[in-house]
Amino acid sequence: MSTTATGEGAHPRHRLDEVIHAPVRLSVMAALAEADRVAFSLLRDTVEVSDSLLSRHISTLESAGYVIVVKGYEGKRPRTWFSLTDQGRAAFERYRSTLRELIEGGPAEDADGPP
Amino acid sequence: MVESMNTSESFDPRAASAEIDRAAARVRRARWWYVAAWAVMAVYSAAFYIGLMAYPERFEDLVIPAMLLVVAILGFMSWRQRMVSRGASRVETTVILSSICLGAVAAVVNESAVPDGLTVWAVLVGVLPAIPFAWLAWRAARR
Repeated sequence: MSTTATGEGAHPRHRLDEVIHAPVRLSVMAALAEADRVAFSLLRDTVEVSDSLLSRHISTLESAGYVIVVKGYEGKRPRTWFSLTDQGRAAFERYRSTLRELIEGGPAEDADGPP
Repeated sequence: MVESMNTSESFDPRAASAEIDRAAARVRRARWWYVAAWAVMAVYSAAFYIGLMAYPERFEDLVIPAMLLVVAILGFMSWRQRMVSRGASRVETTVILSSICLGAVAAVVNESAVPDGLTVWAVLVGVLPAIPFAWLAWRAARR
């Protein structure tokens, strides 16, 4: 089987995580990476999508083990918070590293393994 | 979101990088409610202990109304707060316990060594329990 068919060629773009590599999910990951916890409303306003679309992408990230969803109440008001898991944070760092490689046209300084 | 990020074929790494920066900056801006909540805790904590040491006979007149006011302010801030700064939730419990311990130290020192009335010593000792809260507010603000 060729490397092109498997999508695992030498070019850095083959290492881009397909779970993160989608416009809405990338924004979600970037927002969550900046905090310990982010409330649903702030995440929705940051990503600028509808509640249902955000929920759908969150489900994908949750299935991948990248995001934890915590639902609770503050007083009588229901509130949903999102956090990155350690696995999600590591995956996002790898994704950023690969992006830097693509932008700089060479291996990033903190990329895993030899250049 | 830029159109060039909609498919892998037209993926633009610079656009992705710019979107990461934009989303991160948007969330960072929201941290001020979190910073404000802990700054209010620091100010209130200092005022509480200084008031307790300087004017123990006016406890009910001054401190209890102030406490109710701060509870209302913190409730509002908690309602407004939509994010917790990175690394902060790990140290919140330690900060609260540190403040309680320093409060106990302040009370013991007040009983044994601080002169009556609003003195420099009362202020210095009264500020001690506020230090952990002020540190957490400062830490969250500089990230």
